[in-house]
Amino acid sequence: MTAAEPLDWPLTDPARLAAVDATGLLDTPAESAFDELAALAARLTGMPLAFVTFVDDRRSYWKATVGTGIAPEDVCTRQNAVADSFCQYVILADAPVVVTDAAQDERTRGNPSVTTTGVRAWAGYPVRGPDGHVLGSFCVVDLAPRQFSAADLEVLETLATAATREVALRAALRRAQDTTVELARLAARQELMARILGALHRKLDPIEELRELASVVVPDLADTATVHVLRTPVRPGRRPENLPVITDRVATAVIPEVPLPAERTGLAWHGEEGDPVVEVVRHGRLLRRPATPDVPRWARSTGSERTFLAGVDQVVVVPVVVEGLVVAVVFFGLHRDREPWDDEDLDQLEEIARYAGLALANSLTYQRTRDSALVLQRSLLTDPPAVPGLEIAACYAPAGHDEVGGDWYDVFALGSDEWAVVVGDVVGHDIAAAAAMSQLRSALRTLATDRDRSPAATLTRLSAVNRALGLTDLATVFYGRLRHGPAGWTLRWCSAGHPPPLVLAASRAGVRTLGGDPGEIALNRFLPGVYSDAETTLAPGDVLLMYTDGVIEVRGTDLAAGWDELAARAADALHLGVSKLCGELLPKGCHDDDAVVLVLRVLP
Amino acid sequence: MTATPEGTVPEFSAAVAAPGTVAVHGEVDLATAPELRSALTGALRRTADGGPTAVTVDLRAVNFFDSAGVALLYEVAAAAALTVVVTAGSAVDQVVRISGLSRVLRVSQVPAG
Repeated sequence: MTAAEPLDWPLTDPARLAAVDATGLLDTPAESAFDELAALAARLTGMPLAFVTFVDDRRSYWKATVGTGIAPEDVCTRQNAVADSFCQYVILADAPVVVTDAAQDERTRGNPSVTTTGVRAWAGYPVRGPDGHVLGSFCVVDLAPRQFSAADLEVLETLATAATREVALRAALRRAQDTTVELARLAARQELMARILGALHRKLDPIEELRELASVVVPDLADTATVHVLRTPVRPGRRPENLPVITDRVATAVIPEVPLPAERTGLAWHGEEGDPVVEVVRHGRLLRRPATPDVPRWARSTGSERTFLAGVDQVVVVPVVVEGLVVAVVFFGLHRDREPWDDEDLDQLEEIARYAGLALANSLTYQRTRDSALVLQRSLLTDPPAVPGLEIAACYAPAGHDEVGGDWYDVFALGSDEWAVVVGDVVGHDIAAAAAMSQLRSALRTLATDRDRSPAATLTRLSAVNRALGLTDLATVFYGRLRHGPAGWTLRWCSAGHPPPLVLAASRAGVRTLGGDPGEIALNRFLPGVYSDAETTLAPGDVLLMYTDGVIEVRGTDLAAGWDELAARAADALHLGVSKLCGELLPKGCHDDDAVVLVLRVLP
Repeated sequence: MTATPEGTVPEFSAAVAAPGTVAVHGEVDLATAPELRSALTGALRRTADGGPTAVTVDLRAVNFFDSAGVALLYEVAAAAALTVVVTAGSAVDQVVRISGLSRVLRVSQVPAG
């Protein structure tokens, strides 16, 4: 910037404005090409809002928006003033801008959007024109402050580059309407990349991602694709220290003319002359093997010679790098009847491997956090203690695919003759839900034991704690205090929006529900709860059945039907011991919510 | 572009039916709550331009409503005068009552028919 340039340079740079205008994208309806990139950004970074914008000297036009609910054709609403936008900072900086808390950040705290629309976290990468001008930004937005991981930023950078390429494609479309062949090729390439992006991010299991990678490339770009996963990831750019490199061939895809190599585990690569795996690791990027009339030696030792005998005579090998380590190696093969790959094809193969790395990083992170959340949740759900005069059992069923959940139960002593029973459910199925569950559980324990509070007073305090600390958006809790007195067991209880427990008499004389209609306010982050207590006596033989909504809530049926059904199943199983009874009541088969059952029987 | 969306997403929509009124169809859960959230924020913003900060959510065409939806309604109820329209005795009506929501918003029960 020179002294003569105005402060808002290059926002008002005529060359930049001309480039923005030349995109022909201002004031045009949404298009899937940009929408899909934005949707992917929102999904991968976990941000609620995402945009692709083009910015002139007055306003930021939102070519793509995710999370705003604005209709695709509503071109008038799809914009805001430059002064209100955060995209202006990307253009002024000519570089990515990352804001973790807009209300604190010097660059942004004066921006009107911080107060009017509540923008707090913002990360945007430049979308550039053919001559390098910043046309607008590819950005994600949250209404709460947050940090961005290196993986988040990598996702944004990659997708912003894809958006830039999309703009270039449009420019080519208009510039050279006569060179239709060239255009068709460009369009096909963009379409293939879009399909690959879509396929890669559909799976959260890394091996599945790699299978998708193999199958989506054949036959558009290659006749064979084979993925080898390294048992031990290695640093690219140098020869691996520990040889052999061991791989599992986890995915293969081929055109019909070529026999499919079997998936195989424990393939050893010793780094002999011509060893493609060791060589591509050392090279660190795409490696082209010359066309050869002979079956390579490594193909014989790995059981893929038939691929070559069937006419595949060109191979490229590409490393898949995740967090700085080669985690997989992909072999692409081409049949001798096909045009050889040109430089652009090879670029594209390399780009696909890079996308695969991003997708894998995403799914690996997901698996790691999910695993730690599972461990956390399971470690808290231990067997209830033995209580004289009562028989107690609890069980837990995770949702469908062993998902993390926010359901919990708890039983603990309050002094010498009183016991606390708790069942709760935190909204969500992720690490945040599991963490909030653990915090609420221990907060409730603390509040219940540090002084002699009634259940209602305890939940009122818990509601305040949840709001003050912002533990969770929503949780339902049933909390009861069981006391054994001269007249038997009494239960004093309070429920914060929790599905009502059932009390079944041994005589099968009937079922009582404990509250629930209408329920008291669920614990939530937005509104305080004030609760009241209720009391009931439990006769010898009575069974108190506490549960979370996963036990009764099945899509397509209503709650009343769920209770009736639960009560009927419990009545039928009443002769069983409490452990078996618990197991009987858990949902069977496939279900999409986790579920807890806590059962207590008063011994005669 | 031929990228296809994931095939199993249930049909869901949340549309502004009249000023300050959002009509919801389908299943409200973790997957669809964000869309409902933006529809409600949109409706809120619009009424805040001139009218009172109030919003009505018509849930009669909702066949599943889980805790993600409950959390969202608590959030909206904290910011605006919220009315939900439900079919009397329906699953959604039950969820609204059990979860304590009926204490923080107005429930307009419409007889089934």
